[in-house]
Amino acid sequence: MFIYSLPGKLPGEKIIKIIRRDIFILIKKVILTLILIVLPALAFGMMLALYPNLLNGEISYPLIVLAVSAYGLFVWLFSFFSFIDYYLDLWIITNLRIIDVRQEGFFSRTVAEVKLFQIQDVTSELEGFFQFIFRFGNVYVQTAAEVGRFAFGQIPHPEKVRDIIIRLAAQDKEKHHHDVHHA
Amino acid sequence: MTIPLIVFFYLYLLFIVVWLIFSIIALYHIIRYGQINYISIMAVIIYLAGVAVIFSLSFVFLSQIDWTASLAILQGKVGVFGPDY
Repeated sequence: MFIYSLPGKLPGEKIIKIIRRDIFILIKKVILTLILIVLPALAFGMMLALYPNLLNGEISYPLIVLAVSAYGLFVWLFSFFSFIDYYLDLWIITNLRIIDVRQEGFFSRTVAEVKLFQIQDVTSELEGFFQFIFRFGNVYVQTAAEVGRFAFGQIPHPEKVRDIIIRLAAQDKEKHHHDVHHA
Repeated sequence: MTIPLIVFFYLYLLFIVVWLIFSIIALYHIIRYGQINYISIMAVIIYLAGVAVIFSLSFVFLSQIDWTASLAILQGKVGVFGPDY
């Protein structure tokens, strides 16, 4: 089951590829969440070793329960927001344009687009140890549009994405040229 | 000076209200702007299941607490770090 509505869909437009940042980025967020769980648990364990009756106190026990509950809810919400931050950032390549959708914080969302026939140059970049091992990197699209440079950040197999964009841009330029000269 | 324990519970409830607001914002974002596919649906289900588990466990432990007790401040450390046997 897959339903996605293109922002400002053009006549005859079809989605070719939807790209998100590499899964390694999501794994980093999961590791951060695990650290947020494990470190306080270790600190609490050390406190229990110093104060063995901590969980027996009339005052300490309720405060600990409240703190653990509140912290658990906070970490769970934080991990959900981390996932949403990863999931809602995406690039859509269609047969007519490239759309960049970015979720920035809680209340900010940016949608930018460039028509394929406006693309002048496409560059892929794979730099860094983890990027080299897990094959993710950046793609930069130079355009003749108002947005001069379009960037895909930390995406999987950037060289393949570059090839797709170059091919589609060439096709769209040819079609655009044909439509202009035979109009 | 003493602070009734129930005050901390009210602070906890205030935190829950703020947390709920951000939770609703997060769910709104993924439902409104995410694609409708297995991943987004599973993410929402897992999130809500986790919330239910945390709230259930919290309720079980919090319902056993005597909220009529008070925290004594600046009067020694009796009861704060556990009973002094």
